[in-house]
Amino acid sequence: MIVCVHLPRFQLTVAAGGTEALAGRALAIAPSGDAQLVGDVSGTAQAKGVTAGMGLGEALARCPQLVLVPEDPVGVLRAWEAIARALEGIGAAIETPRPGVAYFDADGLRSIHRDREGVIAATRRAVARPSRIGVAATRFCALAASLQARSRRACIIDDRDVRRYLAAQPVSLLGYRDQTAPLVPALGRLGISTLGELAALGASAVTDRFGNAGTLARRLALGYDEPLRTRRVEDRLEESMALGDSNSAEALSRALGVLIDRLLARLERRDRTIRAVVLSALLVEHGGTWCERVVFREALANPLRIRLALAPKLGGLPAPAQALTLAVTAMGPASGDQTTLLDGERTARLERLRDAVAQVRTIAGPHAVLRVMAVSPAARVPERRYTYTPFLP
Amino acid sequence: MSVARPAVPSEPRRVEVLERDRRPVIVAGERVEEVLEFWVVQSGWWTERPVNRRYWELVTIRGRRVVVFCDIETGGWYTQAA
Repeated sequence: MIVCVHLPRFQLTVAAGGTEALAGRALAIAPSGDAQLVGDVSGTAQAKGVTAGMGLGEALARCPQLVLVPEDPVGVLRAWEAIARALEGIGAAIETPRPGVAYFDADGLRSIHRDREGVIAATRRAVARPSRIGVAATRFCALAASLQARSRRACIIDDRDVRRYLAAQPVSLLGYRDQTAPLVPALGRLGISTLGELAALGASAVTDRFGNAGTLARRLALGYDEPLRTRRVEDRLEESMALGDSNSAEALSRALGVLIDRLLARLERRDRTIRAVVLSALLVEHGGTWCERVVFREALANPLRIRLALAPKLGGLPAPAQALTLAVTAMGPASGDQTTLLDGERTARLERLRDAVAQVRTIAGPHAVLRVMAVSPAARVPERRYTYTPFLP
Repeated sequence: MSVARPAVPSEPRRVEVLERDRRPVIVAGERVEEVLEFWVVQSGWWTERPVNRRYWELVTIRGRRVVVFCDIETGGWYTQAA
């Protein structure tokens, strides 16, 4: 049985400062980027006709008292990571497609927590905040159940009832899956309002009209789903650096270089390559935050190549930053960078130097072999001009 | 054996300064012979940790060149490689 833990309006709750801040207030996440669309909305705003993804003008026309809350992507990631770790703490191998939603297979946990009710109780204790829990044979059905569950009582769908239960659900459920989300408006225009109506269509007709997304949507509506893609439990590698008053592109790029060097020098990395990172910043304006997840085309351990991949992302900073943070979210296999075919002597010498540095760090800790790096040589405050960064041969 | 994370290269270090009329007269037990330069650094006033300092570049009686500053917020004196 798959358990779905759903924390409604998670992004808004974190950005507003807690569930209490949402009570009785019409709030919405302020639009970011060029598309002037509001994000999560509070229950009060929803009651006045405002929905997530609505245009800002229409939202304000429907609810003039609407208060816009700046998004806090870094706070959301941190809060969700803490919940995900707590769920892993009860023994769950979780899949988390987005902050606020997590799935795990409860079958393996029954021996730890006695029975299904024991697993649900342990889940509630781990999450430690109001959450909706759905239990069903597939994750799509478990998500549908969690959307109908009350905050104190899990909604459990029996294996035999999955297809019948899903048939009565609205097609808007498909919006929770990235691959099928674009189908929702099209299905609405065609007058298909429930998953049962979608499932009743012929498989070939749906595939012909909507392609792979249509095939997947119909399979979901019929109660089939892919197996869970659980994440691996790993040490969290994260490095931060205060930027002071210098925010030029050059200074940001240098600070990024220091963070990459420090991450690569961490002993917990154990020579593994890096597959994905989250680059985030604490902004000067109103303590706002910015973050960008970057998945490398191949797992990397070369600081120069990592910097080349990440530096252009800094151009997306919406305001000057106070601090920059780089966190590893996925590791690759050990030492994936290919060496050059020619120039073997130089490569061998570098390899020996790398071994020597690694040996010294193993004995004396990660701060043993350092070099001085100019972060912001023109800074008016002298201690912000240079910093120590791990020496990477 | 484990090496602790070092401070940044120009980390300010606390220093004993005797001042007169808000000017350093004796630095770490050495009398000030000459003031080479004086400047003020005010930065980060928009953050929670503003920097508000009066800097002096001095030559002591032993011919040593030192840079000291007075943190205007706390009144403490520091020496720094600037």
